[in-house]
Amino acid sequence: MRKVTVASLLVILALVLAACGGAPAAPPADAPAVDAPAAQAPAAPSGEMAKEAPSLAEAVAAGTLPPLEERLPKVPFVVGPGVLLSEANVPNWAPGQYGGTMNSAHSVADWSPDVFVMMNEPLLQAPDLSVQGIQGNVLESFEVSDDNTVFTFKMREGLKWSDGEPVTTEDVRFTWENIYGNEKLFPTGVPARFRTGYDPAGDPMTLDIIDDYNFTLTSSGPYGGFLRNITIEGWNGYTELINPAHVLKKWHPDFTPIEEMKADLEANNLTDEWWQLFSQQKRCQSWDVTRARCIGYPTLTPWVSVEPESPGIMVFERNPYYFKVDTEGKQLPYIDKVVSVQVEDVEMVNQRVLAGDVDFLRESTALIKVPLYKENEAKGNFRTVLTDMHVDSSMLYLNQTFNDETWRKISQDIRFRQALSHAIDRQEIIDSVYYGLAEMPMVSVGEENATYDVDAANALLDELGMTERDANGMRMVDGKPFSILLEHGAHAPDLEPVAELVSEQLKDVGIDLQVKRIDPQLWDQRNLANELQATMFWGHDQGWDSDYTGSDSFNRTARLWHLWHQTNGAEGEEPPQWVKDMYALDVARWSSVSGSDEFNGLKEDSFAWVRENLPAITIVEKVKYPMIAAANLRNVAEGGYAIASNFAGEQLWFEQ
Amino acid sequence: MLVYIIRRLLMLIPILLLVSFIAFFVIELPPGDWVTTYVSQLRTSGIQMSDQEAQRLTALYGFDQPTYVRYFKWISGIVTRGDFGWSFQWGKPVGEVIAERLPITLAISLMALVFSWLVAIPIGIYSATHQYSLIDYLATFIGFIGLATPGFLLAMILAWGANQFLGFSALGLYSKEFLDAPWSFAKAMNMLQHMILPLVIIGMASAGSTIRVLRGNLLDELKKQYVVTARAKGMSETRLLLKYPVRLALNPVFSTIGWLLPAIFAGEVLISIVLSVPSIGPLLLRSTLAQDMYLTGSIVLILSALTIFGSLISDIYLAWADPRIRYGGLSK
Repeated sequence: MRKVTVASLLVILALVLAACGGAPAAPPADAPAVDAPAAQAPAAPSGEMAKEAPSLAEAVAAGTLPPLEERLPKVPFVVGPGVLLSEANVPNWAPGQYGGTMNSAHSVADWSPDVFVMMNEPLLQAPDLSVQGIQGNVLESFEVSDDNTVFTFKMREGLKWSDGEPVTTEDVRFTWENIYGNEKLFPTGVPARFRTGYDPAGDPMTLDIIDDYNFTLTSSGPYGGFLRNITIEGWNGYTELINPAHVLKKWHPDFTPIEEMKADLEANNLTDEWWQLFSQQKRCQSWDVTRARCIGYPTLTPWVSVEPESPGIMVFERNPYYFKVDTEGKQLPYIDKVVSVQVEDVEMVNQRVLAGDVDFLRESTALIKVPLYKENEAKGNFRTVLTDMHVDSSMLYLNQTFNDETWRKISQDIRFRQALSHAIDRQEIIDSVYYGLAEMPMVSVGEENATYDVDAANALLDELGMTERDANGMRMVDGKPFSILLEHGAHAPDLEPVAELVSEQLKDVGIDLQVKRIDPQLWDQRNLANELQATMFWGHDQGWDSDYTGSDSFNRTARLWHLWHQTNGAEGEEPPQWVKDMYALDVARWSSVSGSDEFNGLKEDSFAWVRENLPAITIVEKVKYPMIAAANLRNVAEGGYAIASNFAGEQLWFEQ
Repeated sequence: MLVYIIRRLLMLIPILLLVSFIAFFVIELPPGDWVTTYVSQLRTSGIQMSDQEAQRLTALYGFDQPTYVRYFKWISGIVTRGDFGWSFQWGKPVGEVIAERLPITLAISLMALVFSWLVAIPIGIYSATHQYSLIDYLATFIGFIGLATPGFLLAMILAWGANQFLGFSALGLYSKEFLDAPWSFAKAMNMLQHMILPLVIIGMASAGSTIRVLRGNLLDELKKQYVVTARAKGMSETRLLLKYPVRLALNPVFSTIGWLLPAIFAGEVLISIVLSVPSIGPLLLRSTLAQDMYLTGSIVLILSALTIFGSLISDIYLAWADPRIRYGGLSK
């Protein structure tokens, strides 16, 4: 939990004032002097720094906007070195200057992942998106009872929606009772996140409102991982628990008769399906932030979506009520405006980078383009930062519950998976596909199984009884050819080349792996229908995600076992004990407090479990990932996860 | 004639209904629906979404209803209120999405058309009258290049060249400093600069074919007896050329106006994608891929209507312009 004392702020303030005598951006003379929150301003010296952007100071002076101290919560979130990103990753964090427009580009209709990540505000946060050091974000602070069941949260008093309305526990109550509690909107009740042990079948937590700014959530069993679950897990945001009740009540039949919504319903060819109107058009969840329909919707994000001057672009202007300040007490964000232009294809996003039309980009970059980026850096006035990818880029999944008896017998045998792992020459893949910018999978495969050893692979396969070979030297089972069909959706540019290389390499041990590229949607559907025999996709990671066992990927590792677990045994097939052990490990980890010693121990146990059971075969780990940043953009991470740097958009600033 | 036009217009209604019906059902044929696209889009960006959550969304978006129910709701909205439905992908009414892109699409298509005529008609006439001259060979060469080079390739090469040698980023409609600027003279000029490349590339392709068609037809006409007769009677060469053979040779060019209507509406898909021109062609491609069915259905419907309407216009034009067709039709 973070509490900044008034004294320390004043000290910082004094130091800064001493450091820069003549601040460049002095506020207009009649703008009210604003200083550190909850502290009385000393008589403002002539050189006092502006604590808000010039455009906001003007609005305050014109009387169209309340003064800064009325817009900030009593205890604002203070961004400084090591707060959003660790000091190791941003060694030169410095308070910035206001101004500038951040240009970006997006290729999917109405959706910019880069802008979404930059805007996202979870309920709690930890530096580098990690599990260590969780602290308040939208919520001011939290307390956890000793048995990890009762979570008491304190909201930021004075926090306001971007339209100036206060954020209170009424917004939490509305979300809980009128959204999650509504059977039309949530037929199966609250999402798994709010169920004991992050288990879809677990008991829902109970909400108790204490007063306007305090509430508790209570689970029926220990659920310390809940903290992580409202931090960044699965890219959730504050809308998981806080929604602007004052706006949404107009579209909810508990507060507004359906007759009053008739015009909107009819305009959408609906009769009385208010829930469709409510979820498709009226409610904006955190990931809807880039949608055109959400322009003007109250948010808590650093920038808010505004109507663009011309079609085909997204424009976000600073949120005057944003709750974060820097160490000097200046309200964030530094950058005035974020503009993202819609292009017609993902390649064109990169074209704009080369032309210097993009100031920040993460999602649409690719390792394969690094030479091209480097070549154009000077001309395009940007730099390429090689950061870490937040997932294990490519993994070979063998669906162990695919509908084929022979296949099941073989793929469920650990020796088969070990043999394939030995037969893959990872170094060749690292050198040719990843330009050497990736590492051997020491965490998720381990040295023992990751070594390239054709003899060991052959021995293991012989041991399995796959000794018979056909005319081409390919192994057979029970006199029949044995062939694996790998279908991938080319979700990332490295999946296809890696799959092709693996297919070539497996020939050396007599395994026939056919690679087929299919449409991503068909891939999805075949996956859900248990029709994929094998696939290539990314997987869990050792870092920011807390899916250390890879149970989230079990959809691809063994679809029917996953289904059994998801539906609490109603559908699918009962998994064997080793898989149940994994789910038990997950529950234990989710019960412990995220980031605690107990949690960290269970994390290591989870990795050990993966190495021992090799549910899927990780090809490489720690793949590097290029991130594009304008040459004069400051407070950009030099390392760590690209997505974490993307997430910390409010601290970025342009050096003029 | 009038009865004929009215009959043709009435025929539009059943044809369009049939087209809308087929379009809607064909969009539904591939696996999944818009919600599956949406869910996989969120999942690939790292947002976790369980199967149950996906099912809940399917119901919330009304995709749990049978296709014919959704079709009926959509088509009745169009017929009764002129409302093309909701685009899930863009989170706005379909009408608005199309209206946003229509001006730029029409501007580029029409200007490219005029550009191609301005270039092609003089060159075509010159080529035919000066057959096997140096300029004819040159025009033929350029014409074949225009015909044979895929527009998107040309677009890539020229966009690269503009960036490499002129330092000008030809992508999109404006430079980045004008993206969110209010309309001004500078912004308009900037937009015009960005429109040159798409205009030239789109115009090139049709100019190539127009040159070839015009040259071929004109050569045929020039050998005809009435030309020789007129020349023998001492008619001035220019007047002779423009009054008779060229007019006839242009018939095939103008008779394609009908087919041009849908093309003008949709814009050139590949070139628009390469140059990031926000026209309707890429919109259709994108919505089809994402199974944003009301948007796809509406665009297909509009395109079909324009195609049918366009061929009607062509027929009427030909009958009006060419007495042989007009009288030939009446004598039967």
